[in-house]
Amino acid sequence: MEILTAWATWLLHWTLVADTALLRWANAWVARSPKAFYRALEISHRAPWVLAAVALVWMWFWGDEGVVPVRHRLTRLESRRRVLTVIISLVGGFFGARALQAIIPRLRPVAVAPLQVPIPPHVWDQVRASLELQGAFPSDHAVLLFVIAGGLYTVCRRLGWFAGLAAVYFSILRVGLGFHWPTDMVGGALVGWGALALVIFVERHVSRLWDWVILLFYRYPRVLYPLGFVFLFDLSQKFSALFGLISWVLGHEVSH
Amino acid sequence: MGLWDYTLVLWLNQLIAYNERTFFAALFLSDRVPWVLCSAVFVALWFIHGERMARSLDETQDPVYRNRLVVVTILLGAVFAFIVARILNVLWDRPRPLAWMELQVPIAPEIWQEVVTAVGLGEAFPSDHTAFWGAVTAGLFLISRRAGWAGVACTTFFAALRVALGYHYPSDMVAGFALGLIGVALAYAIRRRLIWLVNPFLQLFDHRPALMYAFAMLVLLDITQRFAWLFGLLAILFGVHIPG
Repeated sequence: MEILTAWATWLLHWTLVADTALLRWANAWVARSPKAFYRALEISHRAPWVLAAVALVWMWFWGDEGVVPVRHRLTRLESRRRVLTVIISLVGGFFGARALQAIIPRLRPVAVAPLQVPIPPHVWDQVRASLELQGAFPSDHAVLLFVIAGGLYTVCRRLGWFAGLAAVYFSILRVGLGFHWPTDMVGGALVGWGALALVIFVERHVSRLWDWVILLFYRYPRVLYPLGFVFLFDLSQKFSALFGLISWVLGHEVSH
Repeated sequence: MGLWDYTLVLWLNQLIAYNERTFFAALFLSDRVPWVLCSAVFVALWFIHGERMARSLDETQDPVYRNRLVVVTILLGAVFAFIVARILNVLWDRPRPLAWMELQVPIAPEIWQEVVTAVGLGEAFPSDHTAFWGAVTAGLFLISRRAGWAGVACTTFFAALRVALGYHYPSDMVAGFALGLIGVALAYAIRRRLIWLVNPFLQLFDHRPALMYAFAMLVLLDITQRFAWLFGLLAILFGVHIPG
């Protein structure tokens, strides 16, 4: 038991050391100039969500038509099933991440760590005000990025690797800005991949339901495709329209 | 500016300033919603008869091809109208109603100030929003009269909201709408000459669907951003700054 406790303490210590060292390195890289810092702020804010929407569209139209894949690894029907799997994994991953954020009271680096911030203080204060300072672990951005990368990997290995690299890049930006600790991103990736693996595992059991949804797109394209677009648009906006609508109906602000 | 312009702004403003919730609803509906709706209309037109075109590429035989041509025509006309509207905005510096009229604003002053800062005080004429919606409406008339009239109703509703919020005068809206109609008329007139370019482009959607639809998604998302990314790209690549 003592060995186990000592080992856990040692692991925690070195995780914290690595977390702090990586945060410093990423922050020094992002804060190398005000221009680079602004660019990181802009890119890390919206780009992952826009790219996620684009990636889902790409997956929807990937694969060979017909029942036997010839050029690609899988048929379009299988690829479309995977899109639905990824969407459900995202929803599950977000809820999982939110639940963990509520349980684990970890503060974001912007609240506790000394960071280099080469932009005017009033601008930085606005950015900080838009963040909830508590509940850093795990990152829901990481859930999004790594679920999408994982989903892409299952339909096209090469693009999956590319999306994985993009996910790492966006993760470094968010760490460098002080929004998350490196382990938050790792935690988010694990939550996302866990959710994805779980839904892929049960995919063949729910394939009838998936096929029914896909069939609806063939039967009522004039309705389902525009609805699909609106859903993806809202995904690209971090579901701000959905939460705005909920806030308007309830008459008070609902944070997301 | 005529008296009817002034009177209509005040009358419409009174309607939406009934309470805070109606005003916020007007703010929300007049911002992104029409653009998302336009993009959704493009998607609906594109897929209404299926996902693949026939090989013949004959407008009279293949409804999928016909609709895709209409979408391309609308896009060409709309982009033209939108850019011309932006240029006219600069040349014809007309202050917005919210810059000088006493409007009823039943929301917190600091929130309204943010809205005013985002919209700006000048460059009211013509409305670039209505130019784009006008082009989409004109395109809908190419598909069916009923769809066209539905487009007119939606455009009138959203234009009325923007007038009520004090962003524009009704005459800005009429001018913008006319610009949209002209844009689509021009695009329709030249589309036969562009067929050598348009047909291979449309065929790519059947040959490389994943890549092309991913690209199309980016274009549609940019439409919802009022071409902010496109204008940003033009500014970076060619140093062309399109105001607004």
